[in-house]
Amino acid sequence: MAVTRQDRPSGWYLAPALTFFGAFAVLPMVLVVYLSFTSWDGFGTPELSGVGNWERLMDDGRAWDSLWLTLVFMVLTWLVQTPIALLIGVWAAGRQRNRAVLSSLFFLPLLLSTAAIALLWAAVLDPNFGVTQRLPFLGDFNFLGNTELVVYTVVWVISWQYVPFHTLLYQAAARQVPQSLYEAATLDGAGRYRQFFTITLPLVKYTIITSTVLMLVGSVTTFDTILILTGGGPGTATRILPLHMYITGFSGYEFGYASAVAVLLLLLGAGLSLAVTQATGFRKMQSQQEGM
Amino acid sequence: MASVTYEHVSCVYPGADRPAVDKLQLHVEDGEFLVLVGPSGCGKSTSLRMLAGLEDVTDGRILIGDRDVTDVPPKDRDIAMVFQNYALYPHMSVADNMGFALRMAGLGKAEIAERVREAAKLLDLEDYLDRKPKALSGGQRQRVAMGRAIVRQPQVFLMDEPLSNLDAKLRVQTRTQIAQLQRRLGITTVYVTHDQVEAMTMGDRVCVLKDGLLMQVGKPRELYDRPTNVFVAGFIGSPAMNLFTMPVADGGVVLGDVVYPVERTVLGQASDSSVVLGVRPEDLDIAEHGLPIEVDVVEELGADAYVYGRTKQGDAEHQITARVDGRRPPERGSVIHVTPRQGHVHLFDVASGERLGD
Repeated sequence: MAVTRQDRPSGWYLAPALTFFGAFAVLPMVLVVYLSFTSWDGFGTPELSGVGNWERLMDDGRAWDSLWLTLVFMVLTWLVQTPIALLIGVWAAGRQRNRAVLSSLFFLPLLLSTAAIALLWAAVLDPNFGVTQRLPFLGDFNFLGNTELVVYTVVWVISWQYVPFHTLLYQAAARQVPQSLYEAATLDGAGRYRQFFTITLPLVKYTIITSTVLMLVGSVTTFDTILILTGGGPGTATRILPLHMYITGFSGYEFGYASAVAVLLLLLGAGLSLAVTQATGFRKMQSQQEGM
Repeated sequence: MASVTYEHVSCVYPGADRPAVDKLQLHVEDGEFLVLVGPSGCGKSTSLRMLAGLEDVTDGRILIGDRDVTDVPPKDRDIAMVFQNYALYPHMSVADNMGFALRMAGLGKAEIAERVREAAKLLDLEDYLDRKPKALSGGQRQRVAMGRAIVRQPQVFLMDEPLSNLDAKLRVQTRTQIAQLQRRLGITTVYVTHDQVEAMTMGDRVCVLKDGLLMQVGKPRELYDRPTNVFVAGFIGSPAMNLFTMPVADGGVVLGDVVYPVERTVLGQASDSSVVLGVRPEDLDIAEHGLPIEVDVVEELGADAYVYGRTKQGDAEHQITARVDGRRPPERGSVIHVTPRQGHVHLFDVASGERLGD
């Protein structure tokens, strides 16, 4: 039977996807923008307050400190995670049995909940009962209590949590690189390091971008690990902007103001991912294996 | 320039119970174009990859010229390889692809550019040097892969089914181009293919492999005229040689209602009361008597026609192909009789498959 124009699937097939996208993405975004112009303690009726929240945000030194800290975290976690994930991912892409066994160990943190990870590390790094007491030769560091050290501690824990996921991305990408390219390079006289930089790296380029965007957006949306690990402290040493938003909203019951912060984060996340994809030509992305 | 010698070379893959290549003994002359051919899994690619250094030699030695390269790293063997999928670096331009090995070897920019340009000229790629592989057609990519091998000016070219990704027409053209180029450059070439037509048309000599064992090596004509065993007889030639097991009679082999005369000394070599008789489709003539063929299909090719049919010998029914005059082909469903041309029959032992007599 011939398929005529009328037999084409109607637009209604889009409905389920659109419903979910609308209900869980568009609607909350619209609501949060609306709430940012209201004053609401979470119980009564939100009352319009004009640009009050936005004026307050402009003058809120703590919010700007948090934003700066967020950017520092973003850069540090990217710098730590990307090389590690890339190297382990490429290594794990090999088909050797020992690699398969070790990789499945590396991927274990993926199975743990954020709360479990944060509590685990809080226990390990506890100044009184943790690793510094058990292994005194490590030195007497207060990983979670020292306002400077805690930044690096949090970067470490977050990296430990997310490196396996990015490793998985890189493993999949590296496995897509045809073996014959490495063979050709071997015959051409390129050693293993040379092959990594000349073949692997250019051919996983788009995965690096994908992973980077995920990390950047992650930095402006997730705060759960830090909330459990340090609560943003000591003082405000680890109070990144998403955590600041959470604390303002759910501890201070200032949902209107928290919404203004959320809108700022939304713009920041969207802006960053757009900037990265624009700058890297990701939007013109084609198969990495074109021409093979 | 150099010769290539395989001395009792074996390759056993880990976990495999039989070798992929079994005690290969082969000598390729300096400047020769040798084709390794065989069905998939015959060990032809493994043999080539051992020569390239991409596969470990389990046993035996490989020599390039007088130099034992068995344990020499691939880059120091002075060879260049063309891969089946070309293995062009997708993110590099044609010029960079071709010059990569020279860059690795530490040559100066000017010399690399010069050699790349020369090769590009030879292959008609001058206009494409700045393009990436994705902006090239299949045939152009194939030529870039050739160019990448040529710029290295190696002692030996290795080619692993370099034409199998091209369409039929281009494959025939490129086949000739590669053969011409090889003759012009005079570089020893080992070429792997599963296509026996490619093997016959391109190679100075052809080496037929099966299950890791060398079946026969020789000039294309020799393989065609004097296959040493049933496998080579059936593998070389298109359409394939007709092979039937036929009873031996006094002074010959029974073919339908006639006896094809064979010398007693030859028949005496047979281990059984029947032999495998092979005859090529073009060596069958239509006659009054002989082997009856019930015609199933007639393929008219213009000058010739191929008759595909069945013939009965005792209880057994055999498929048979015969070439006939294209202007007077038999009707489908009719019965014709054919006899083999004198001196164009191949006899093989039933048990060993080896050739009997000359």
